[in-house]
Amino acid sequence: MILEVKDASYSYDGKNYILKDLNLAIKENAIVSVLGQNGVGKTTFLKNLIGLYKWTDGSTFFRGEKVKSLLDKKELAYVAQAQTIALPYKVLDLVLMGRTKYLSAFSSPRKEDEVIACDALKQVGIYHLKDKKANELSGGQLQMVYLARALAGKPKIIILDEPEAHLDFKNQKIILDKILELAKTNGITCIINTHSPENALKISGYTLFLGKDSYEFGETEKILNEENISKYFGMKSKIVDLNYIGIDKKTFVLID
Amino acid sequence: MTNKIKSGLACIILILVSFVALFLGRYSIAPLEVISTIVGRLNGVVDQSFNATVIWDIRIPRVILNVLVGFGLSISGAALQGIFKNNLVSPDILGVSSGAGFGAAFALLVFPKSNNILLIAAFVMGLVSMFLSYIISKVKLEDTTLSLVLSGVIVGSFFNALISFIKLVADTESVLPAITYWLMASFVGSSYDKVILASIPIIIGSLVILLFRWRINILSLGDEEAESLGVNPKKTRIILIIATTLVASGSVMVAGIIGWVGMLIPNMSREIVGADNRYLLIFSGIMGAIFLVLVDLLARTLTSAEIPIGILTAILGTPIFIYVFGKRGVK
Repeated sequence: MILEVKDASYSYDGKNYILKDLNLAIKENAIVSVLGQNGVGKTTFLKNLIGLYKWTDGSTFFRGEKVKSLLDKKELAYVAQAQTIALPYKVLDLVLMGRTKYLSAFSSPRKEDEVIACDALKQVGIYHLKDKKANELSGGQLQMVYLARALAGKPKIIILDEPEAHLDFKNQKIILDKILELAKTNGITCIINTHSPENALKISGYTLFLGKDSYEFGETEKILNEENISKYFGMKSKIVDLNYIGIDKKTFVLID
Repeated sequence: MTNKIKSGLACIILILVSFVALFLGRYSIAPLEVISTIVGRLNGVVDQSFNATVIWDIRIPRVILNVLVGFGLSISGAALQGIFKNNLVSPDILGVSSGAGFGAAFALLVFPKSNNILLIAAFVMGLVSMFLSYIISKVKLEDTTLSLVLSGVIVGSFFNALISFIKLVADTESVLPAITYWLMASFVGSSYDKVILASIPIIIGSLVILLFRWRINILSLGDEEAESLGVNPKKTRIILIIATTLVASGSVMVAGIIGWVGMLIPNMSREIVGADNRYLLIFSGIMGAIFLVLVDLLARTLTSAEIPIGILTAILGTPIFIYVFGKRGVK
């Protein structure tokens, strides 16, 4: 188990718990979707998991070892929710920042860091953007840059907070396919927040449903069903297997 | 042109400008004579002529101070703009100049004869106002940059009020003009003692800032992102705030309150070398040095009575600022 969460709860004010008694274990190389409505605590969960917030009770375990924070571990990369950037950093410089954990406090990136950052840009497929200014990129391009930055740290776990939010269909597909491909080729465990059950179904082996007072964690095949969609999203839906028209795919149809 | 070449060019311009500043002035000295005096002194010939004294005891320390203060104000301004994620930040964001101004005014009131006490009081009060801002920002639990900025405003206006009070009770014949003049900033009375005194905090602080140049890039992304990249933002920020305050207090103590330079020069430099602090910091420093040598040259040659440099930087700063921001467009 690369990551575990045991008896974990979190409250902003010490009275009302937004997350309560979570227990789950994530296998190496798994791709996990965290699904839930807006405001149910998906981002709060991720931030607690990695140590940006501290669990009120319980803790995170990394490879069986209890940890306060994963943030200083080289194995972890975190891609926060769609940020815009005001400062005109070059794309390559931004990606180089993903190498910071490998540098001492006083040093700047060296030649070999630059090579690794360029490799990351190539892997994500945006090497041609390397000298562009980051504040002039589109949302989709910027998300790719952040993905490259995560990759430049050579992580074992990448945590992404709604990487496909605010992107159109095509860019959603591009970024999700890329994440999937990179996770497979580099042996990276991925935990991805999303509010789209369809995307969860498409990419993840495991799903964590977060609701107001309950949660459910398991294999996507088993728990991503009509019943749970109605329970956690309050929407009636139908999962349609497109096999009958020759497409090996399942999709969601909302019927509310 | 790469950023290294740009920095090299700026260095050459700085040397040229500094040299011109040695022979221009109310009392002009031929360039060749400047060279021969310097070469002579370096070879151990002590020239007692009037020209040599002007060059050696008045102009050289003054130009060195111009360079130190211009470099210091600009590098600390650039660093603070990164730390606070705001291009309008200047070195007195945490009330440093108001604190130093109060220290100087107090020293002028109580010990009107001692120049050394003035320097020390200005320097120490600069540091004190930074620490006060920091402590006040801790009253709120969140350690955000915004609460630091607010505390800086509070501390700044508090010390400004104290300065006004000192002006009110000061002797209007001698002390009040001295305080007013000091606050407008000037390099009159530059000496090697001042050079040594100012260079210690300015060089130490600048070195720390330069060592952390990559970390300033990371901090400029915001606390959560910095943390997720493995940098402790609170610790790094306080180290850098102390370093920038050392530099700013060291500059204010020898020259007085020089506005605009620390905010304007980093913005101009950002247009030339980009936002990456690996280049921006040192480049801003050199540009600031060039700017201040030039402005001080104007201050002492423009009119028959010397104009306080703080007035000139503000008058020149406004149109340059409008030009820089107009060119960039609103962002």
